[in-house]
Amino acid sequence: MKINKKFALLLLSTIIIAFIMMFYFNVNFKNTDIHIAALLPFDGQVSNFGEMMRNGHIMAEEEINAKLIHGEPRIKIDFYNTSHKKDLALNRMEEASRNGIKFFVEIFGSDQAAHCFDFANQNQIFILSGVDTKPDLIEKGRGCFYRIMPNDAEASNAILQWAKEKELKNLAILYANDDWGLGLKQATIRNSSDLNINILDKIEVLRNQLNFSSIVTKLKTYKLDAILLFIYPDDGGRFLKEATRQDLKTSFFATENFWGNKMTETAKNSANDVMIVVPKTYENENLQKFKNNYKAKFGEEPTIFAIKAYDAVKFIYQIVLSSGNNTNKAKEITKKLTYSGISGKISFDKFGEYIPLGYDRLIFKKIYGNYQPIKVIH
Amino acid sequence: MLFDLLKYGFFNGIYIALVSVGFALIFNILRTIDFSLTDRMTFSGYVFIISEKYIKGLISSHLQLPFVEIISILVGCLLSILSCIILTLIIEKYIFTPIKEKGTSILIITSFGISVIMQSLMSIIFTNSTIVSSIQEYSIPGIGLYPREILVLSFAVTIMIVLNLIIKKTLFGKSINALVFNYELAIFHKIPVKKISSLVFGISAFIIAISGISLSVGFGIYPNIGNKYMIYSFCACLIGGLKNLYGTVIASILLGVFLQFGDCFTSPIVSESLTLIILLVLLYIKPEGLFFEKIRVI
Repeated sequence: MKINKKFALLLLSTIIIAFIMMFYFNVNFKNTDIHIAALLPFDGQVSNFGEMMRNGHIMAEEEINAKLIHGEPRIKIDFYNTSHKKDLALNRMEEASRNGIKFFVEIFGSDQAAHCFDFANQNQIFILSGVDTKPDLIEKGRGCFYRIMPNDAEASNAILQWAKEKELKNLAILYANDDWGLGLKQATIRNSSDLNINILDKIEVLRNQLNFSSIVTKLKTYKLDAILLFIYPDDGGRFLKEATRQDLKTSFFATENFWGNKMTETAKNSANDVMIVVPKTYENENLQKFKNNYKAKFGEEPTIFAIKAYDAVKFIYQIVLSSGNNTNKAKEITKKLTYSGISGKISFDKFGEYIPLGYDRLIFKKIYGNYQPIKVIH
Repeated sequence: MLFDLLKYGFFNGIYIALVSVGFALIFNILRTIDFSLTDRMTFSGYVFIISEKYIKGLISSHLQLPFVEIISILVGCLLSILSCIILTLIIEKYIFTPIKEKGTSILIITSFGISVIMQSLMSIIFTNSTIVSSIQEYSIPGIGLYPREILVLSFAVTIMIVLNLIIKKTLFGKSINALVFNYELAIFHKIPVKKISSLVFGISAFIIAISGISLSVGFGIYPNIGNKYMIYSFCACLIGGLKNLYGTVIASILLGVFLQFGDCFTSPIVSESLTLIILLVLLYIKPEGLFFEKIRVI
């Protein structure tokens, strides 16, 4: 009798737990809901970019789920840490694919994305990136990869145009020795001849290079009008600090990756007057609202990476809805779709490449004790 | 340009020399290289950055003292040096001493193990991102050097003079010499190995902490920042001869200058590879090091 009582109690508690679990999963996630993945670096030297993008993704996810009209599916983003490593990115994609995920809202890093293309094509995976800028990625992706960030050729052109307007003719390039840095360097060399700009030297920089004194000493021997920094923000900060120490007087240009606090924390006062080009965002009510909400939630101004990440989630949600969760249909729809994001109009050409909206020009200035990029009106 | 390359190369060499001297001192006691030395340098850099920031915040908000910057830097330095010495002595007493007699290979593997554990722990605690100091440095006009670098140079010169005096004039120094040149005989003559070992480890920790502090202010710090210095210092020790402190220092400075010229005229990757090739060639030609002093064994 005692055993029966215990057995009944056990059975009852099992049923209650099972019921609670069923109810919980039913409320939180239905099979009809949209399940996507983001492959970002959460440790290592570029982890701050991963964090910024995750913040943007979370903002979009929460907003979509809070504003659902009756019957619309919820969205759930699974975040995977790639540590900015190619093999790890592929492993994470395989893992997500095993969990039934076919839509990826980010693979951070051009190298990492390119490494996943074969698997993505074999498994009919759809990738949308808000950060990968290597020019040949669309071609290499063979239809599985789309982005909403202009490619490096556009960025280098924007910098060179700015330099030309300032009548700066003799330039040098410092570039990171990876796919991103090499891509920007090559694009700049190609574009410079058209604009009649001389590239006097191209210097390779190691990731986490500590000592820039020899590079600055060498650069001082040229009569340079400007130096283009296609390197990571903390390396850039160390270079700028060294340039100030050796009294290297010239202009410095960089891309959007200098936006954020990594470069300014390292360079400190040397960050003054550094010029960066950032994909254009048009001030609008939604963007302002996003900026306010972001600042309230995370305590800092959103960078272009958070803005693009937010747009990428909203855009992919529309794509999944329109394609009925079918990646082949999604690829076709994406090329034809025009979407109004907070960063501006998102549309693609016939090859699937993002049609850029131009670039904003920003310059670092000290405001209330901190260096911040200020938009230049031109 | 040439003068600038020599100047910055020389100061680069001073950093390498500090680490090399630390390596050489411990080598003479353990009779093997302690690969975890540079991780203790990283550790001291972290302690300095965090304590300096914390103390500055504390003084600014509660105590309203003048010279906030200077006080926080001094207290940060003190905490960093103390914590590095304590950590080093703990490692020496509880890890190296018990296994010292088990052979060189065990010691090498153990020091590698400590290095891996320390780097992993620092990655977990501080993440792999670079943490930078809040100190704004200003270079001396016309010289192009930071006051910190002049201080480190003065420290390096002082420590070399003091170490030389200790080794040549004191009983402690003579005991070290005895251990270096004939370990078994020194033990036979009842030289207090444990005491000397702790003192040498303590001195090496002090030297390494200074270089960790300077590194953290200059470049910021991340868990495996010490790896590069470990390779260069190891090279300098082998070129200079591990049993000759002056040789090690000269080799370090030469290496610093060589790297500076290499970075300038080739690229950082090429100059690093060239350094290692030169090391291999030198070891092939003169395995005992360039500045090895021949000792007359009685």
